[in-house]
Amino acid sequence: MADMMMQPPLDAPIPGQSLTHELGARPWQQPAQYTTVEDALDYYIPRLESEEVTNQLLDVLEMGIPVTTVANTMQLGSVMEGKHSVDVGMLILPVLVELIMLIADSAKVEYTSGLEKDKKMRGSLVDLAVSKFKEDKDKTKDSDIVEEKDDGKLVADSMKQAAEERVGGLMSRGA
Amino acid sequence: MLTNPTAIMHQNLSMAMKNTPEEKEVSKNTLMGPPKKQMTKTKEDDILQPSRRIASYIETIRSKREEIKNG
Repeated sequence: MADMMMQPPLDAPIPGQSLTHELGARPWQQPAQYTTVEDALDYYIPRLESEEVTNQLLDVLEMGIPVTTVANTMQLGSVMEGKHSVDVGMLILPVLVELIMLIADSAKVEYTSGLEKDKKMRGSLVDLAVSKFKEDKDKTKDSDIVEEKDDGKLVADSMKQAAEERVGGLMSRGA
Repeated sequence: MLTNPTAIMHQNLSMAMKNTPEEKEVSKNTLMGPPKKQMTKTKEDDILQPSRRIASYIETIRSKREEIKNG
């Protein structure tokens, strides 16, 4: 705790710090090692199948970290190491997700995929929908009560009145 | 700011897999004229596209998952 207090609060890289090195000094500024999707998958699949990585992966999934996060972290790390380009990383992301889920399923580990996030609705939207539903329900209740009161005489009277007004035939001119 | 595009990529690919256009039979000969050239992309070209290749990989992995789930 004391160490944390000693650390400077603003220890982030300053804007433009990534450009202070020579061009080509970073791995991602070099040509990628694996240029096709197949090559990149050939790099990932044996690693994911190895026992060490599998155990670590299952531990992470059991902790509740979504599969999408794990997959994205993996591909981002490889991009930083210069293994493949960002484009290839984007293309293999769905395959990585499916592979990780396959490993988890085969080990019978419960996991959160992270794919259901988009289906979640914001709390404010849910509140809005609930309030609208309540308003509609109240309105229908009120109208039901009025109809119940008017049920007997009023309905009959209104029908009589309507019949008197429409003395002519269907084709007759209105008043 | 979007930091993890995985869900979007997965969703887009799933949609692309669902909306795969069906093949139409194109008549090779017209009545009087010479045979028409096929302007549409052939199936081989379609398979060579990265998205289709990835879709095929995903289908394979999904079928394996289904096998595991169903026992």
